[in-house]
Amino acid sequence: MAGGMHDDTGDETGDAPVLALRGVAKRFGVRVALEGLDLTLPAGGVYALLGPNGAGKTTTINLVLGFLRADAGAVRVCGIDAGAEPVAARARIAYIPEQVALYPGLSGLENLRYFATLAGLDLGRAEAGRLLGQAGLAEEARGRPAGTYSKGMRQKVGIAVALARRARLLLLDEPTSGLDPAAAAEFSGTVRAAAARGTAVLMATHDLYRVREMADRVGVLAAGRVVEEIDPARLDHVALERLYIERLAGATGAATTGAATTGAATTGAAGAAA
Amino acid sequence: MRRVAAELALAWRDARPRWIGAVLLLLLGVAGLGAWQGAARYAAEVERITAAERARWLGQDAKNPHSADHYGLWVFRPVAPLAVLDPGTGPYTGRMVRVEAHLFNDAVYRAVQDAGPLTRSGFGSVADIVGLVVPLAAILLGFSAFAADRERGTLRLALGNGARPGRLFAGRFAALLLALAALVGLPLLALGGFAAASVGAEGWEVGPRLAVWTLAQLAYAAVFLLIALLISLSARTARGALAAALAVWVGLCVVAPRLATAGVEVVAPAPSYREARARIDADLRDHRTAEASDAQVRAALARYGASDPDELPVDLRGLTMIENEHHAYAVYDRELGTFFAGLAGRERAFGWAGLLSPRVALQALSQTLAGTDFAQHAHFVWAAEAYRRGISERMNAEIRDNPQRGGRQLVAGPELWRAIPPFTPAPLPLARGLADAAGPALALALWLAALAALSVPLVRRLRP
Repeated sequence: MAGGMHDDTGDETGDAPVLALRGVAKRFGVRVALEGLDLTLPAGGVYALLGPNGAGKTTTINLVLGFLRADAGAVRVCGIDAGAEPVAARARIAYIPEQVALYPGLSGLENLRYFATLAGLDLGRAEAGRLLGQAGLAEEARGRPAGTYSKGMRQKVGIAVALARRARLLLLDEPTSGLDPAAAAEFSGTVRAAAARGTAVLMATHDLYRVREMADRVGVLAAGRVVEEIDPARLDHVALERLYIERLAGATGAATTGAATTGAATTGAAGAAA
Repeated sequence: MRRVAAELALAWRDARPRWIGAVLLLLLGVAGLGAWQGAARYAAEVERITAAERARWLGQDAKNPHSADHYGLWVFRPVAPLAVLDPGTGPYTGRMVRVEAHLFNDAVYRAVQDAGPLTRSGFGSVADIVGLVVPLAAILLGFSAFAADRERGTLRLALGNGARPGRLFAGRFAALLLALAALVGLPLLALGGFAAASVGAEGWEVGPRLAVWTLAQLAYAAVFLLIALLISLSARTARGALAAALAVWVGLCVVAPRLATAGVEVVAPAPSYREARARIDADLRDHRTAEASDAQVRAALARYGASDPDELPVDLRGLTMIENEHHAYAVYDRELGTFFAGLAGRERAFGWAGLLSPRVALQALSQTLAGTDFAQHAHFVWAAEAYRRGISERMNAEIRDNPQRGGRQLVAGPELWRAIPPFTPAPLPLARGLADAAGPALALALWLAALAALSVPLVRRLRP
C-alpha cells in the first residue's frame, strides 16, 4: 500500500500533539453525550474509540471536525482550536464517515476528482485511478456511475478521498463497515502504512477484530466517558471482546449510580508497524 | 477557476439546467419573436405613413401660411429597438401626435388598445418573463446547492475532507451564475441583436444599451440565485429549501411590487392631467379677449411709432399671432412642464421602491436602459411640440414679413412647405438613461450587497 497521509500545512504550535482533547463535555438538551473526555494523539498514533451506539463516538468525531462546539473543554488539532477555527483545523484532517455519500451521476473516479478539487487538490486521472486502486475499487467499476455502487464500493471511494488528502489526522467513523473481508484487511494495511508515515488516526468502531489489527490504543467509551484504556497488543480478540462487554456493563451500571471512572488516554506508539 | 469548472461539470450532469434552459428559451423566444413581429410591423407602418404625411405636406395646395399651419401633419414616435425586449411604458402611451397651429396635442393611439390576449394577461413581454420566470429558474437551479448535499451526506464528506465553506459557496455561486448567464443572457443578447438588426437602431447606441440592459437582467437573476443559495445553506432538506425559496419569490415578485406601487401612489401621487388642461384652457381664454387683442395692437403700433396698421413695416396679424403663440408656449411649458415633471418624479420614486423588491428595481432599470421609459416618451412629446412650434414660427414669420395691404391675402406655395424639415427625433442618449437609472441600479446593487453580506455568517456556520 503506497500513498501515505502527510500534512502539507504548517503546524501552528510546533510540537503540539496532532489531536488533543481536554475535559471535553457536550450535552444535547438534558442528554449528556460527552463528559470530561481527555485524549491525546501524537503523530503516527492509532487510537480506537470503542463503544455502543450513543456512547459519544460520533459526537467526538464531530467535535474534532468542528461540526459541533464543545460545551466545556478544548479540542485542538495540531494546536488549532477546532471549535473556534474549524476550517483551519479541517485543513489538517481527512475523514471517512460511516456512510460515504457520493454524487450518483458521477463515476467513482469523477467523485474522487471532484472532492479533491473541493479540497484544493489538482488530482489527475492517473493519480485518481491509482488512489482508487489503493482503496480497493476494481478498475471496471471506476467509470460507472456511483449511483450503481454498493455501500462497500462507496466506502472505497471515501477511502480514496481521504488518501488523496495526505492529512496529519485521519478520522474514521466505522471505517470497515460495508467492506468485504479482503477490502477490510487491505484497509487495515493502508491505515497502518499511513500511521507509519506519521499520520495520526482516530477511529470510532464496533469492529473488535480490526481494532486489534490497526489500533495501538483502544478507549472504551460509555456514557460520554472513556471507562477503560486497553493496549490491544496484549489481548487476543476474544479477550478484548470479553473485556469490552464487561466494561460496558460496568459503565452502564456506574453511570446509573453516577460513579463511572474518567479515562485519560495517551498513545505513544508512533510509527507502529503496519 | 478549477473549482468553478468542477461545479459546472457537476451541474451539467443534472438534467435541471437543460430543462430550465429549454423552457426559458421557449418562453423568451415566443415572447421576443412576437414582440419583434409587432415592432417590425409598426416600424414599417411608421416609415410608410411618415413618407405619406411628408408627401401630403409638400403636396398641399398653395394657401395662406396660417392655413398651412392648421393643415398640420401627424408625427410618430420612433421605435426603440430594445422595446422588443422591454416595451416599458410604450404600450400605455400614445405613439403619434398631430402637430397643428395653436395646439399642444396629446399623443394618441396606444399599442395596448389593439393588443392580443397574451399582452392583456400581463405576461406577454420578454421583460415580464425575466421579471417573473427567471427568478424561478434561479431558485430551481440553486435551492438544492447545499440542502441536497446535506440530505445526501456529500456535504459531510466534502467539509470533512478540507473543502472550505467560503470557497465552496463562491465556486457554486459562480458556476450557477455562469449557467444562468448562459441560459438567460445568451437568448436575450440574441433577441436584442436580432431586433436591432431588423427594426433599425439609428441613434439608439444599441450595442452598449443592450449590453448594460442584459447586465441588469443578470444582476436581477443573481439576486434570486443568492437567495436560493442562502436558503439552501441553512435548510435541512432540499424540499424545505425549495418551499422557503418559493415563498420568498411570491413575496418579492408578486406581493412587494403591488405594495410598492401603492406606496408610491401615496408618497408621490400622479398630478391631474385634467386639471392641468383646465388651467391651460382658462389661461389661453383669458389671453384671447377682445380687450387683450386691442391692447396688443396698441402696443405694437406704439413700438413701431405708427398710428395705423398699414403704416407698419410688418404684418400686424403675423406679429400678434407670434406674440399669442409665445404666450401659449409659456403656458404649455409651465402647466404641462409641471405635469410631466410630476410624472417623472413618480417614476423616480418607483425606482427607489426597488429597495422593497428587486423586481420593482429591475422594472424601472430595465425600461430606462431599453429606452422605453417615461422619460423617452416625454422626450418624444416635447420633440413633437418643438417641431410644431418650429412650423408655427416659420409660418407666422412668413406672414409677419410679408405685410398684406388692402385686404390682400398672402398665398404661399411648395417652396415654403419644403422649408419645413421632416420630423426626425433623436432618442435620449444612453448617458441620460444611465443617469436616470442610478436609483433603481443602486437599489439592485444594495440587494446584491445585502445578500452577499448575509452569506458571510451563513457560510461560516455551514455544517453537514
